[in-house]
Amino acid sequence: MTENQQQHLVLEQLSDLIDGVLSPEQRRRAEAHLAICSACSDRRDRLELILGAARALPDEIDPPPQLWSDVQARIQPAVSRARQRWLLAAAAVVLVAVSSAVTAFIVRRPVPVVMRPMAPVRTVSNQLSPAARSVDADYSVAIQELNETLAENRARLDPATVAKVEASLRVIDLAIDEARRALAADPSNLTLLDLLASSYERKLELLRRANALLPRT
Amino acid sequence: MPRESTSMSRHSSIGRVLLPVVVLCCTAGALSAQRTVEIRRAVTPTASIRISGAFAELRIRGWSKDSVAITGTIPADARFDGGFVSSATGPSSGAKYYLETPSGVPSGKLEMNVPAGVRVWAKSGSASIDVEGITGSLDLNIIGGSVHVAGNPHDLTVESMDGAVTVEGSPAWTRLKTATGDIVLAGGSDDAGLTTVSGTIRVTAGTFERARIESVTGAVEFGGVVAHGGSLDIDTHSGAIDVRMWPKVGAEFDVASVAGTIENTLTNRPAVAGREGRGQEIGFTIGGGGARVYIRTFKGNIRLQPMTKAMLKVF
Repeated sequence: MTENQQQHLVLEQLSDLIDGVLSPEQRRRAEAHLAICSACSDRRDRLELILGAARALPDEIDPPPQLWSDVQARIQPAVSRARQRWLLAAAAVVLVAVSSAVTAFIVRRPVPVVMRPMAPVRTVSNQLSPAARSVDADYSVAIQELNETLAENRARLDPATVAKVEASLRVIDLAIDEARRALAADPSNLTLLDLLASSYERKLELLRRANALLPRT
Repeated sequence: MPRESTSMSRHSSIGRVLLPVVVLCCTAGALSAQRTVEIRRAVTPTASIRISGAFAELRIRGWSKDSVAITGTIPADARFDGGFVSSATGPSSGAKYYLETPSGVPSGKLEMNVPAGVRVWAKSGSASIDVEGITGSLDLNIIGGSVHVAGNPHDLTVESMDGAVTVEGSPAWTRLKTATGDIVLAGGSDDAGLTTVSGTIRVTAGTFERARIESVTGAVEFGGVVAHGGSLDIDTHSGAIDVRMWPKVGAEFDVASVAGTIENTLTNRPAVAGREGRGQEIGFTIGGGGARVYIRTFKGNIRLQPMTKAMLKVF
């Protein structure tokens, strides 16, 4: 086992990776680890979601104009400076604790599963070798067509069956995602290419079978 | 207290009398809600028989007679439609039946006795399908439930979502596919393809000309023999792979795990580190070669071991 395989990436490393501030060597090692570690890979994905959502927020939010005057009016003049300092310190501690807990909850909680039959495989297309992109292309059209047919007709399938199909598709998509990430880090690895193609084959086959389950009209 | 105890004992006596009556009434009601099926017709030895719908249990038996007999019980309000291909001059060349229950819930129990060499196609949402003695062709498709096939059909296709698939026999051509259901094949094949997403695949016996076993996260165990000149291909994404071989069978091994480990006790050769120090790989020949064994996994661990004496007794 190499060092990359053994050590999980800490939050700061993941954050720096997403922000693009890691050195080339640090980035290579982090990506190599992500390619084989689904736990860190999942954390990175969740962090990306959170940071993406944060970036979408406006830079500043102006408080209502009367807010400060209201606050001033409510401050009790009798409160001593010392007590004010203690209150401020306590408020700061509470604020830090609450925000840490919220951050930890968001980062660590499992992402709720929402199956989207047409969801494209996320990753790193621009980092893939031509061979890997070729494998992607070989399967993408057929998979998309089957996905579309299934999405259009899923109401005609038993919900329990849909759940089974989607759970298996999720397993395959994770495998495809991992293989693609590994290929991004090691583009000339033919074994990885074969395994990527094999996972695509599983997905194609499952989608074909799911479509074959549709009642004939 | 004595009065209470007498009262309780009276109640329990009444209960003892009433309970069997209630059970009998319910059973009688359930029985009366069923109707029997009995269909018989002469068919050609290689007829095509298709049956689908909401049966919960289907037994298919190959026999030496030249006719098909479909018997069983189905819900009284179920539709069991279909029929035989008519032939003015002799036995029918096929039949097609469909069972539909108002609720859609699988509930019929059917048994089909068919000439051993026929082609049978069966499909149900969730059913237990049990087949024995067919030498023709079998194509079975379920979502849940289970499939058990005993015997040596010439070609066998089973597709299931989460239903388990067990085959005890050696079909010449075998395709077993599941999503999460487990697959067990106790027997060989000229051409076998076993695939799953996250079920386990176990091959416990048999000689194979060509075998391809593929899984995403499910574990794979192979304990068969690859014929001289034959091939065995196994690939998984993260499923563990456990291969047991008879060291006297000639085979060339080419084995790699991109990010997992390889444990080899089939020969003395240890696995070496893979590309860029990641994972492991190994290549070696046993018994002078002749067959090809190609194993690949992304992050599953691989074990290569000699067969145990108990396993060898099967061959």
